[in-house]
Amino acid sequence: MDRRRFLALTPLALGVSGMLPFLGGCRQDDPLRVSYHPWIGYETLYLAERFGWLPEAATLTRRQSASESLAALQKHEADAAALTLDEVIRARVQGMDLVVVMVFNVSAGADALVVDESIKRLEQLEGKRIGAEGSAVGAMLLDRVLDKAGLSREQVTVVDLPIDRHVAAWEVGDVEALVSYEPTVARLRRLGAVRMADSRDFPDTIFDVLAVRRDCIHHVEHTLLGLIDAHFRALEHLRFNRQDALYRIADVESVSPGDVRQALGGVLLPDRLANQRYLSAGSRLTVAAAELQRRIGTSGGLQGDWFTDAFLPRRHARAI
Amino acid sequence: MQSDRTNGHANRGGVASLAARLLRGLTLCVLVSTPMVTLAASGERLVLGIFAVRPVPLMELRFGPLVDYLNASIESAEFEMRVLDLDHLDRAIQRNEIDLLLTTPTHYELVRSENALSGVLGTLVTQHRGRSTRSLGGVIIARRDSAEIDELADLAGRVIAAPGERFLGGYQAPLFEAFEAGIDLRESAMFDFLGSHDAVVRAVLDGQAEAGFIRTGVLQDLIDRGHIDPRVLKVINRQHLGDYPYLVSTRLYPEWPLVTMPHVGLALERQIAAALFSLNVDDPAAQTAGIAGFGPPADYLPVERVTRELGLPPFERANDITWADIWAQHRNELLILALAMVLVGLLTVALVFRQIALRRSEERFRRFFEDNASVLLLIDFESGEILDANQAAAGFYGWPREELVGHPIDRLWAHRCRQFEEVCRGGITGGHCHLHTHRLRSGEERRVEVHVTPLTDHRHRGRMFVIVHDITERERAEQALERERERLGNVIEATNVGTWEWNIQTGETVFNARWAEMLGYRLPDLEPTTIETWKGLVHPDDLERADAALQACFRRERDEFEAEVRMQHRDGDWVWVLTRGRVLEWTEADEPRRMWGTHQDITARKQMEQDLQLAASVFVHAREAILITDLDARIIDVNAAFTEMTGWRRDEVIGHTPKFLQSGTHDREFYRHMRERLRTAGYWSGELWNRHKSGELFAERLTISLVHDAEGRPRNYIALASDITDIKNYQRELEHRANHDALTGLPNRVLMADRLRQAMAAARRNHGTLALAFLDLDGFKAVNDEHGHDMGDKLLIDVAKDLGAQLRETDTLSRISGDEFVIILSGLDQEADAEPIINRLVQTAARERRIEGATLQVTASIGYTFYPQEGVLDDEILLKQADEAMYQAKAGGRNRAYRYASLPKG
Repeated sequence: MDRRRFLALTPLALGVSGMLPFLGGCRQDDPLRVSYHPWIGYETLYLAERFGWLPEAATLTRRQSASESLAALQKHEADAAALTLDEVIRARVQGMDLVVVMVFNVSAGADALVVDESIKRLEQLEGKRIGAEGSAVGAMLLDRVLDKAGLSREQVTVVDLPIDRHVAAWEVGDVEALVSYEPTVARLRRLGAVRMADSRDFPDTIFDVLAVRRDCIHHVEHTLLGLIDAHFRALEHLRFNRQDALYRIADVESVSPGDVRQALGGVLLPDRLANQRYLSAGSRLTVAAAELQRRIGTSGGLQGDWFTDAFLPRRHARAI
Repeated sequence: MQSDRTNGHANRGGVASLAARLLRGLTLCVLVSTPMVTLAASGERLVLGIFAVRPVPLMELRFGPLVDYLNASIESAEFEMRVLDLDHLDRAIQRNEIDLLLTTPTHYELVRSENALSGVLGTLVTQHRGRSTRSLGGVIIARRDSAEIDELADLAGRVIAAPGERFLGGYQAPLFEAFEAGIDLRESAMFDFLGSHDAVVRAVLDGQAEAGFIRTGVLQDLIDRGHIDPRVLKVINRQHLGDYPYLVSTRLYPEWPLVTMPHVGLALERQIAAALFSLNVDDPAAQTAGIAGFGPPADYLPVERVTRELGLPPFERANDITWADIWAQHRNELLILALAMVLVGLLTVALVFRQIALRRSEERFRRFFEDNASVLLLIDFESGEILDANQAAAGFYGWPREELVGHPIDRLWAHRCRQFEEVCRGGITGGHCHLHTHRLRSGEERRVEVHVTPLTDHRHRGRMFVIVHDITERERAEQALERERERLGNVIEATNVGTWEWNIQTGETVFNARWAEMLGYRLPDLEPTTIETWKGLVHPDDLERADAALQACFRRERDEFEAEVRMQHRDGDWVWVLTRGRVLEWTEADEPRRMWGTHQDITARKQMEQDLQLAASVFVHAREAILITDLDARIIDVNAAFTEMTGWRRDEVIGHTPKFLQSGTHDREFYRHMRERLRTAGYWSGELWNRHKSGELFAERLTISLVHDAEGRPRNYIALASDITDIKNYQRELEHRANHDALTGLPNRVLMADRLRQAMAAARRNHGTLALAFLDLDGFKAVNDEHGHDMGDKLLIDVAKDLGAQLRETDTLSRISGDEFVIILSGLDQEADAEPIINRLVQTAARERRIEGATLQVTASIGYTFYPQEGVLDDEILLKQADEAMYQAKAGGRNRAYRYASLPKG
């Protein structure tokens, strides 16, 4: 493969060098604006930014919620965003051509249903006000919890609450249960909320991914490669210099390092190889996507190449 | 490749640890046979080596309670503390005097590299103001008042104090932080290693160093203990790590490890671990040490990584050894690999060169194709489509190239192309060329010359390469030339000129039919024609002149040859010919080679010229004055005779009317009549008096004619005049003589009679009166006789003069014979008016006169009568009456006057 490529490329490289401007090489430094919001799985981006590992052309904007990131994509104020898989599919259904290029994490407990301590059993949720983000993940988690409890949606009151209002809603007693995620879950628990169910109960269903607008994907190839490389480098830092990373994430999320540690326990952070597996046909990611699509209740959204592994670093992760 | 120092160090360490291991092994062998409890209870003495990161007394003070705690917790062993600086600590380790080690992670890395079996039992947990942490970092300090140092980049070029190279927080962590930011301070800054953190802080405070590296916690400790003022120092590159209890400039690393040396038994290790992990934060041991206790061993990989990346011991120059090792171990494989790579390289280069050559060749063709100014097309003749077209083609046909490609070729044709079909059938194999008409996008049709080359190489089979030349302009030019030639022929035909072409070198000439026809010949009659043909026909008198003009041409003195020669017509007449020509070809030696020219029959012109010349000569040489005017009588020309006659020069009169010549002699009527006559009859002839420039009058005989132009329109007046003044004067004299007395000049009888009749008529008309007197001199005969006739004549002249003086202007004195005078007194109011005059006449005549010395005296007898008178109508009668009265006066005694009386006096 390599030899063939080498031989094939030699004359090509000589001949094609004059055509480079047409291959988009000249535009590889188009700025790449990446939007994300506080979520334990995305903090690698924050770490990479703090350590100056991001490519020069990449700029990172930390927004309040996924909705803001989606809006930024819609308004072309952002070129890429960290989103949950269901958000990507919804956006695609609505006509935004997003491509999944990387999996940040798979939720394994970081998404959770917390309830007032008076609620001891799932069945007691009947008639209660349950706050949840209007996302498919939230809805899916809620559905599964209700399934488990043997309740229908009509038997509870679902309050649509964006993540940045969860704590406030809890504090004023607006809701008696919340479908939330880390690190908010940790803060809720400190306020007395009890974890009743979480994403560990539904493994390999909730993915957080990096999605890029297809219209600019070829203008930012190199920057995107650099960004994803920086993510994996930050992931290493998280693995090998855990304390430092915990302190830093705790600082930006205004929680304690212990909370961060606990939040990290609720997610699986796939490395490059695992990413490679997820971003291939027939993977658990695609299965989950199909399931999400079914729940969203549309057939659109997954046509075409909605994911690619082209931007994952080819070489092995930085040697320790 | 290692330095001697490091090598020696490593060897010493190796030997020492080997000895220690052997010894321990022996001990172990002995001990294995005894129960473990025995070992544990044997009261083993363990040395806890503590790196003196701070001043030794301080360290001993802090960690003393920890040792006490261990001694209290573990009965089977006795712990002893040794606080040493790194060098001493290393030496102690080499001597295997240390069993437990509490040191900085970087130092641990070194220890581990020298003794791989050492392991971390736990990681220190420090605490500060109630917050505990398992992490440490570096702190970069500078005096708060040093404005130049604010961030990592400002550290370059500074004097930096640090405790020592083997310190993590105090050296490697800050160094790495700067290194990651692209600054290697080992090269760009000057380090001052002072051995301890406290010394660093002092150096910075004293200004001996501009910045300092210390580990986390030291600063707060010094502040807490009141050693320094927190406001004096600042922390550079401060990290925001939330809950982390210390100010920090770098990322965090695991806190100090508690290392057990391999010779410490497993059971003991477990006991020590249990003791350490159960150390409560409230324990005095923990409190004094300022720690929260110990946690499970942290992962020290980040520390190793920092050390590795910075190339510090124990990871310095690891690569050199590796390559040397590889070479030693895999020499053959490497050689084969290198050979193979060289081969691959050579083949690649060859391939590249071939590709380049091929590309260049294709590039050349491509450039030839692209840049060619000719229209070039590549056509697939199966599909009849244009496969490629160059820019010139796009420009010519008017379609963009991309549209032209894929275009069916027949859409370019104005009509079908037989040659193309031939090529398609294979009828034409080689390259060939044909003419065709192509249609452009604009609809315009152009004539083109199409060069077709069917391509035969297998890659391009089924294609043809076509070059298209637009020959529309060329064809137009050719047609224009043909038309031009035809036009020239027509012009020659129409102007009736003969043409000739003469090869001067050979004498050969070519004439056209008209040339011969002009002279009455048919062309074949004269053939073969040479220059001699021409010479033979030219008048011998003109030949020389023509030849001179030719020679001037040949010498390039004149550009054009032109001559008028007479040539003999077939019927013997001479025809005037204007021959003109030019040498248009010259030899290399600048001799004339060929000449072209025309013949033009100018006989008629010549004739006219001669006529004109004659007319001009008449004008110039005529004795008559000639004056030419336009219809407004403005003078156009006069000849020399005119100037001679009138005194006016030509230039003085041109443009004027001839009025200036008028003498005033003729009245208006005269000129009106002249004009009238000219108008009606077209000419006028007569005599008139004109005035010379000098003022003198002259008479001329003048004929004015109105001349018409060829179309019969009046054009000019031509006046011919001859001077007749002399004739006129002579006529006058003759007339005078006929009416006057030659002697006295007085009117004679004829004139007197005429005047008398006129006076009588006037008197009748005016009802006036006239007197007629007859005077006869008395005694004149005697004078004649006595003094001769001459004297008599003179006397007569004198008397006549005197008599005339007595008369009025209107009166007439005439001599009618010898001594007889008749006097007419006309215009009288009454008869009485005459008598005084008559009496004066008597007296005057009687005056004594001296003539030529002689004194003479005569008297006069006058008889007179008046008119009108009754019954008298005739002058003769009147004269007779006066004559009769004169005789009566004579008879009355002479010297007197008598009036005629009708009744005879008595």
